[in-house]
Amino acid sequence: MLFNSFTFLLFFLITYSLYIVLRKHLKGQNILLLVASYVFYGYWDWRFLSLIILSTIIDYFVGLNLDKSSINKHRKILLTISVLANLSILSFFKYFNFFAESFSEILALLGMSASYSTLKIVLPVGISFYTFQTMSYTIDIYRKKLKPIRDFSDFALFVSFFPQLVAGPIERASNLLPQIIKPRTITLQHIHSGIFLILWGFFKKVIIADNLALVANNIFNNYSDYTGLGLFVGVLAFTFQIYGDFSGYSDIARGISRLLGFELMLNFRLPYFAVNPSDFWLRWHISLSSWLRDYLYIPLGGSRGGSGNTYRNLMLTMLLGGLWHGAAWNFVIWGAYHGAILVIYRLLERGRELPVKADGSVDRAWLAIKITFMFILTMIGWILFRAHSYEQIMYFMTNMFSFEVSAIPSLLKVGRFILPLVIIQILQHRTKDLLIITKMKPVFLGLFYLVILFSLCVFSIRESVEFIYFQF
Amino acid sequence: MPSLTDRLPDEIFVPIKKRDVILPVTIMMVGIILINISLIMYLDRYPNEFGVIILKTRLQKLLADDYSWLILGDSSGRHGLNDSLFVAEGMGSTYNASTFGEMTPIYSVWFLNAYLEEHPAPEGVIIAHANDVFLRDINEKISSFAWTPLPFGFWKNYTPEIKLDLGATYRIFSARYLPLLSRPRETKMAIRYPDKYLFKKQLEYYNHEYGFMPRDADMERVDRDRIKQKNRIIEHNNNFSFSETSLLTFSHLNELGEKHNFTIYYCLVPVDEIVVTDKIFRGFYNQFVSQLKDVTDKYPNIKLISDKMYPVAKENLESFRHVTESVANEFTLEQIELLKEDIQSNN
Repeated sequence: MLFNSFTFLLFFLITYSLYIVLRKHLKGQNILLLVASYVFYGYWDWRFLSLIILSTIIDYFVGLNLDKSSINKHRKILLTISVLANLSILSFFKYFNFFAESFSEILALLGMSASYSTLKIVLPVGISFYTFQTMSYTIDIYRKKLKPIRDFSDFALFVSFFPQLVAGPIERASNLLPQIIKPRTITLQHIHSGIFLILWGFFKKVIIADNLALVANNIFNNYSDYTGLGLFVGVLAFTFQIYGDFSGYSDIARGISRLLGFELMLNFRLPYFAVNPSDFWLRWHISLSSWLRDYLYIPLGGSRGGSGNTYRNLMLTMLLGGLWHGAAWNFVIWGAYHGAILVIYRLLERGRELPVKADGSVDRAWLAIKITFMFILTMIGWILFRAHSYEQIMYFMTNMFSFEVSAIPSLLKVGRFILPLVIIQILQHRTKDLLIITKMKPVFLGLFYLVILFSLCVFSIRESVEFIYFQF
Repeated sequence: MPSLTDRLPDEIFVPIKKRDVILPVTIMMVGIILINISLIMYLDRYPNEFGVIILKTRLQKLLADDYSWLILGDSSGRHGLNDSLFVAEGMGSTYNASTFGEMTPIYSVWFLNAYLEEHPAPEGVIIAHANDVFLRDINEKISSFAWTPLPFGFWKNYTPEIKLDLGATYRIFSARYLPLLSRPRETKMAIRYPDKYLFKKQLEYYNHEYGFMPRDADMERVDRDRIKQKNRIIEHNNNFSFSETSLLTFSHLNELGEKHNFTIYYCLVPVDEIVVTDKIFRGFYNQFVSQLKDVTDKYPNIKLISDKMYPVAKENLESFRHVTESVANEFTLEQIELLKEDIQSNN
């Protein structure tokens, strides 16, 4: 079920009405949300509900037994069961064909032949999100940072909570579980900011991302017809398409959760205002980057053990982060690229990440240059992410940076969709407040909402377009 | 020393009152309702959707006068039968109120009903549809029906057997009363190209004395259309059969003919010459004619003007089923002769 569909609107209105009716019955509310979450997911393909339920059962019992056991060996075995089970499901559905094909190609390069068969596997929507979410639960219990939950249905709700089930944010048990087991209050703040997040999220997805997708798809699919600025426009369109699409989903998910009285973690903090790669990953898909930091980078040794180990750990983390996005080499290359620029920036900046003047204040001119440069590096990364072949990547890289008058109308078209986002984000950046818009006078806020709703009605692409991150 | 994390924006909450939540939402809701109402009024006067304009102007013109002959059909009739020639050849006042294929033949019943409520019966009604239009069901493009400028629920009054499901009824309601949701293209055009569309009376441009619309040849379009048409036939496994809507149409037309004492003539519109040579096209066409003959055998008030195929060379076509002006005139004159013969033989 897509957020940007009438089916979802109907589904949410029914669920929300029942949720309000059950406001004095926490258990009833949780059961309702669990059923709604399974309906939400099963609407896409009910067969894949079995995978969520399997993951839930394994991690529920592993969690309980981890808590009971004090023998280290037992605890390690239990954790291994959980991690292996989750990664096996993920690997089979997401990576089986990729590894089989890649293995065969490597053997072919070595002059050997191997027969292999690919399976027609459908990738279950959101599998990467909920497996990571549920794995963090058992790992945290193993680390004794978290107590397991006794109530199975509450745990099942934690795994399948519908607003963030298919495209995140990847929630931590320590944040979401307490909100599930304790009575929730829907405050004025929840409603106020929730409405803003939902409307703004829809604007980013339906108006910005879906309209820019038309431009980006056309240029990337027919790239050899374009040169210079024409190619640049395609990359620029995709840069804002992927941001609008993914951050739009996160905003809607967080807004819906707020209306239900939940607080999900912040997933984006104006990533295109980053000054360097470290800053970018503090702002982009925060729930994934922090997951990778806590459950991969730090266990690998993090920045302990000297520069060499740090760089190795960074590269490994980013390579796996790239692979998380999809079973294709371009995602691995994209991860490697981000790993490489993280290492290069660390080497060059040596802790001086922000340009500072003699009086200790930040040098704004230098900051703007750094932001622009990082934005260009991010755009180059998106070429690797979006391209389908090595030839395509090379074509973009060698032909993109030249001026072409004929591409100006396309640039203006893309600019028309980007401009409202840029204006609001500059405002958010300058005030360091992501909710600055909600602080307008109520009359102006009402007019702002009216413009958004009118745009959604008139300027949206008619067919509901799937969110990019559903496939991850 | 400032750090990266110091620069990160966050969500800052401040105390708010109820009115901070209620007022913006109220403004948004009231504003959107007002915009929608304004759009209903605006698009009624200044529609820029071709389908809406065609339906509106044709029904207006149809209801404005008494006619001896009425021509109803889709675009093949709109571009294939010249109503001015009917007048010139002494058939009496004639109006070609043909619309477009998406309306399916049932619209003929609605238009005819609306006409008969205000005017005396015509001498005859000519129905001109391309064969594949008879395959289409009422639910396929329901929003087009909503554009029909007749009171909401007209499909119940004029055709009691047609029962639309809830979804289809909602789509009609939305197309009529929620233009903000259902007619964004027209709104977008008015915003993007104000000099061309905003407050511009497109209706006047299409409101002519006669409904015939002449066309020029377009061979590239014919090529594209051939592929499209063949795919449509293959989709139906090369089998032609009238849709439920089409069968209802014949039954209602016959009832109206009986009640008001006039004949409905079905006109086999000109076809692309490929229908003669291509096995798939020909097979499909033959099935259609054969089933149409069954219909005319069943209903005494429905007749075929001629069962002869009228193939047209590609150079004289604008699309698979739109002929050029000269062919349309020749074809019309031939149909008029045949009609005159039939009328004489009946007398």
